[in-house]
Amino acid sequence: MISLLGRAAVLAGLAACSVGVITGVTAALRNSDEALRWTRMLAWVFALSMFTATALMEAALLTHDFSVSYVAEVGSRSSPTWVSIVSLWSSLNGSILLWGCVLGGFTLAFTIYTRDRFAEHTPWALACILGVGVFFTFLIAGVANPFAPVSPVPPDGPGANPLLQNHILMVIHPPALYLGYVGMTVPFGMACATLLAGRLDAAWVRALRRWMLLPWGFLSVGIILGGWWSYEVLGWGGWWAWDPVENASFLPWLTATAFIHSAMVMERNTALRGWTLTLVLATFLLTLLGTFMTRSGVFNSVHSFTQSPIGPVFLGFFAVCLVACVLLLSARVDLLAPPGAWTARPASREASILVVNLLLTCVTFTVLLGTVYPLLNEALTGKQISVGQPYFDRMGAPLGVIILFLMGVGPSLPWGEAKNLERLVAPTLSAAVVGGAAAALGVRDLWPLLTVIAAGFAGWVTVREMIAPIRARAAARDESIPTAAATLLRRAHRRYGGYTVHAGILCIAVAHAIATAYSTEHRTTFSEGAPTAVGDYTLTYQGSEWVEEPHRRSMVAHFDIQRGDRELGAATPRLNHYPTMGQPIGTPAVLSGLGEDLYLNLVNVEESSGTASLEVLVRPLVWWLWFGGGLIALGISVSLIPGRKRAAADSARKSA
Amino acid sequence: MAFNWKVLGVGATLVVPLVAILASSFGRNPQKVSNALEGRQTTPFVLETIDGQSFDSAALSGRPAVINFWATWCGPCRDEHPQLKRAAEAYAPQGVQFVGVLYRDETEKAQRYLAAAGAPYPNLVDPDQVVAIDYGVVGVPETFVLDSDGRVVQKLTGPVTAELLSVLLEPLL
Repeated sequence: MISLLGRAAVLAGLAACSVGVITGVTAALRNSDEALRWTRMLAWVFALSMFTATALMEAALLTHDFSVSYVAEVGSRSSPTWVSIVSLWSSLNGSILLWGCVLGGFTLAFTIYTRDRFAEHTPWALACILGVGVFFTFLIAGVANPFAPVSPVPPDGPGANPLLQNHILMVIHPPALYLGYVGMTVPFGMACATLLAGRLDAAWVRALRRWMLLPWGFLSVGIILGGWWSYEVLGWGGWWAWDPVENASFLPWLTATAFIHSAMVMERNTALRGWTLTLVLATFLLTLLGTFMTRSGVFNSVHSFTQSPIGPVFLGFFAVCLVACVLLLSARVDLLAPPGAWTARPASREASILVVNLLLTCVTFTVLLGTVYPLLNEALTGKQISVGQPYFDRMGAPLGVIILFLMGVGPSLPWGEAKNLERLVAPTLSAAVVGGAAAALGVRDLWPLLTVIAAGFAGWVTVREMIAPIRARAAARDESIPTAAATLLRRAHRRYGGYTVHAGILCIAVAHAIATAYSTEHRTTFSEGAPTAVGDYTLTYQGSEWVEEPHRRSMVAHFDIQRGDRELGAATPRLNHYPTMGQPIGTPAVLSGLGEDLYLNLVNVEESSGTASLEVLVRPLVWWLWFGGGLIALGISVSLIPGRKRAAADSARKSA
Repeated sequence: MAFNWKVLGVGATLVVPLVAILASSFGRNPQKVSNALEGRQTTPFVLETIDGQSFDSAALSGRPAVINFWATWCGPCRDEHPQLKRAAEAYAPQGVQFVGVLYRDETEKAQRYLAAAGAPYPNLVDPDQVVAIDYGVVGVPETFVLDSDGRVVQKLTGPVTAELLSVLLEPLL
């Protein structure tokens, strides 16, 4: 029954999208209000049918309806309820359905957002977004159909991937990434609409930037949660491995970051229009590439789903989108960008944004090259190679340090022309002091030290740019500091959001550089009851026990931790055995502190001899990675608060 | 329509190779790692089986062979054991010689394990991992499929399945 209903909902979505593309294009070409009304209605139908299909799948997962192919593939009667719910994104076909659902949500949000404005661009944008919808509903209805009926109905299923069941972060990491990935469809539609219409205005550019900020925020949070999950679950003590699929999420993040900055130039004058729109198109294309990487079976990665027929279909769609984007850009870009628009001086905010853009593009190409190089090499020479951390670290570190440094230079320079370069003096002193302090504390290696110095420079500027306007306002209007701060936070929320994000990035950059360079690792075997010193810590093994859960058996080891005379409490690293997985999967125990983390990874327990072997990692500043992620989320939320004009317009409409 | 040829040119130089590389990569096995031993003969060896009998690698010549490096402390090795047993029982009548080589393990533990799990083929003790070093074994389980001339056809890293072995062995019979 659910098979039938689910498939019907997906087909309804496919039909709505297909017709919606036609009515959207008609509305744009004929300037027809009637056709636009139809397009909006069809967008609603698409969204509602995707919601319905997803709700039906969740119902099937929760009721263990094994007559639905996807439930038979990932469901299990022994799974806890939360695992049943998140099973939706534990395997290929369900994840594509979730993709469709999120796309429906974004389409609906955009339809509602544009109900009373942007009449010129909206039909084109909706037509493009629904065009992407056609492809995904086609996938869900065809090669990736999760609703295929199963006969005979199996009594039970194998359960979801154990890695997914291992940590609660897995509940939010994939959906956050999906919100980021799928959300890029809206700015893509808007950028295509800009090119197709051949015109733009400042309000439209602001709207485009907001619609990019939202998925950018989700993507950032999704990436950081992914790193956190890796750190808390996988037991290797790291958060980023330059794995192809990690790179795939990082690539659109880079181009979207570049866009967010160059769009600020585009809001102010006619420069960089073609470039900025190219970044939007590239961001969307890179999300497609990322999805292809995860689902084609071509790349080796912990994130990959197994090989499936979806790969060639996806590549076809990716190729069509690429070609369409190149043609569209080359046909239309001259209409938008009058030549000679660039008038800024070298020492101006525009110029620094341009340089940062170029650097981010360099990073994008570097990462893309490193990711596809193994494929290229194998195609040409037949030899398998892998491009690893050393390549990415060596190429990324210099570019990253320059970008950090420019995060201090750009905001210090005014738009147009620089007159007061003395604003760079104080941050330079700050960089020297911070660098000196870091060197005194033992940071002597080149790139970590340069990272700290650049962050010291940019950190000063970031804080100054947040505080200085408050003090200026308080002095000028004779207000108290808190009053001035509250007013400015309300009025200039975009500015404060932006600098909060910068602060988050600085935290992450420093933490990443230091934690990667200065962590120590010990492998030790502990006897029960005997305190053993590891670095500054003393660990006492207190024995271990088996814990039985419906979906797994776990060996849990208990350790008491001391540092000097201070009791830090108990830690319980564990090894989980899942019936479907041969190797046990560890859950490390992490004791986080502001200064450093103690990371215990259970390797082996010998019950007969009462010993346990641990991999003990001491990693400095790791906590600041997650804190930086929190700052980014906070900053984006602040930026996205509706502006005063918008809020006023909304309340006026309500009271009318 | 007037195209901007610069944009078109730059776009095409980026797009065409990228799509071509991705398209040409379907069907590749991302887990596969090139191995210098493939297509070459391996160093001969004489080892003792866990029952104390002598085993000469010359016994492998003239017929396909499967050499499996394993240990009792290795979970994936235990997982693949039934699969190896099944493949050995299916292919021994057709002349394929299966050999297990113990990797960094105690002979008694292996004897106990095999007594319980069953061993239709000889298992060898490799003191100081001399043979494992010759074969370039990095971790266990690793499995080498040899043709009847003693050349390595493929090195398999991680647990094997009977189906996978059958795909590799069929052409060698």
